Amino acid sequence: MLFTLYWMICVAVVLGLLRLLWTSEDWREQALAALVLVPLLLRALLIK
Amino acid sequence: MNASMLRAGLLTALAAVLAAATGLDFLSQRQVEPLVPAPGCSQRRLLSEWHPPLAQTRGEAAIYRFTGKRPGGRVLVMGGSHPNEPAGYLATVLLVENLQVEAGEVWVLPRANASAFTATDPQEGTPQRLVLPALDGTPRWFRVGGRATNPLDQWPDPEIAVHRPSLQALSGIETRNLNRSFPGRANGSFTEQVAHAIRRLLEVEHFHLVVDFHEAAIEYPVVNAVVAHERAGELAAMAVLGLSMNGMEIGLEPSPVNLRGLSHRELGDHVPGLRAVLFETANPGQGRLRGRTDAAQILEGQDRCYLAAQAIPGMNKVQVDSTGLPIDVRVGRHLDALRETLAALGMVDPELAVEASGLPTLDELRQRGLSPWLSPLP
Repeated sequence: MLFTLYWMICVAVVLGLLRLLWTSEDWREQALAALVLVPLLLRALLIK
Repeated sequence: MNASMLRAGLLTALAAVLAAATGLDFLSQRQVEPLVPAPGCSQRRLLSEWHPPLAQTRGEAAIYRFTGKRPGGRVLVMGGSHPNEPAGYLATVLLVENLQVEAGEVWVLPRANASAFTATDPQEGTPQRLVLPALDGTPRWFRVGGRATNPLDQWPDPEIAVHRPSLQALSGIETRNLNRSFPGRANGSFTEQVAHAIRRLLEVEHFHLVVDFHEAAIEYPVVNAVVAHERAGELAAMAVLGLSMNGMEIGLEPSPVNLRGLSHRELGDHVPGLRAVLFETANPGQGRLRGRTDAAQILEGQDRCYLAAQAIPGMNKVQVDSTGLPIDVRVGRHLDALRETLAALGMVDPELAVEASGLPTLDELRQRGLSPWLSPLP
């Protein structure tokens, strides 16, 4: 149960960051989203 | 495509470049530096032979075997139980690259906790590598790791680490400390499995002596010392006496019976007939009082904070002066102590005599540094 909740929160955070990156009009918000998302996804997908 | 999307694409690309650069630097921590075994090395084996689940993991470690022509005792020398104690690791590197054994056998395990070489301790500012010139002047690099197993291999830490089989309670991070995990368990944590593999190696191959090279902070009470299990007490006393007669300031500490998990205590208790000792030198790059920690500080052994602490009575447990505690001297202390311990083993039991040569003395290392004994890479 807790594990499912944890992953639901993770997915919500990632989707929120993607939305911020893609739709924000403020470049600083977009830069912040990119700097969090890219290493996060690289870490999750590539580094075992 | 509007301006916002274009900007998002550019910023994502920039973040990817930054992540790639830093990620490659991060991954370089996992590179294993090449060693050049001396001609006297008869065999290279892997720790997983004594605990197969370690194969293909970051706990896998090479063991170099040196066999003499004449019979004698069998000795294991370990370095890298704590990869943030570089003199212990470099002393085993010098063994691997220079040792010649005439009688008995010496096995060398330079990276006892190989996983701990792949990550440094958080907030310690440890340099990633030490670079030293080899015999021909070409650079050789050596990894500086952390005190504990890489958390990628064993996570999360418990609030309280419980040692098995004694049930002694330790702080949580000690669950990843190899030198609190002996005798180990075959089905235990990653670190316990590494400890188990080392114990099995000693048991199955009928070793007579294990020597564990370490370093400690200058303010730590057990430093510049030999710590000995009671079965190795006579042997260690003779070695310390010999070293003292040669002018080395070194202490003899009995292995505490109530502090569990350490190599000298648990291997001595659990491996029949084994004599277990541990050597400590003083590392200025390790303690809480130290200043900026970088490769120069570790190699030259100079730290102005420890120099200032010398004015506080009892603060430093070894004398610190302007000459520092260079790595050459710390490695030399380990090798001199090993030489005396091997000589003492032959005196205690002539059938277990181990005759070895090719190693530099403390005085030679003090005068010429480590380079003459580091082989160029092929």
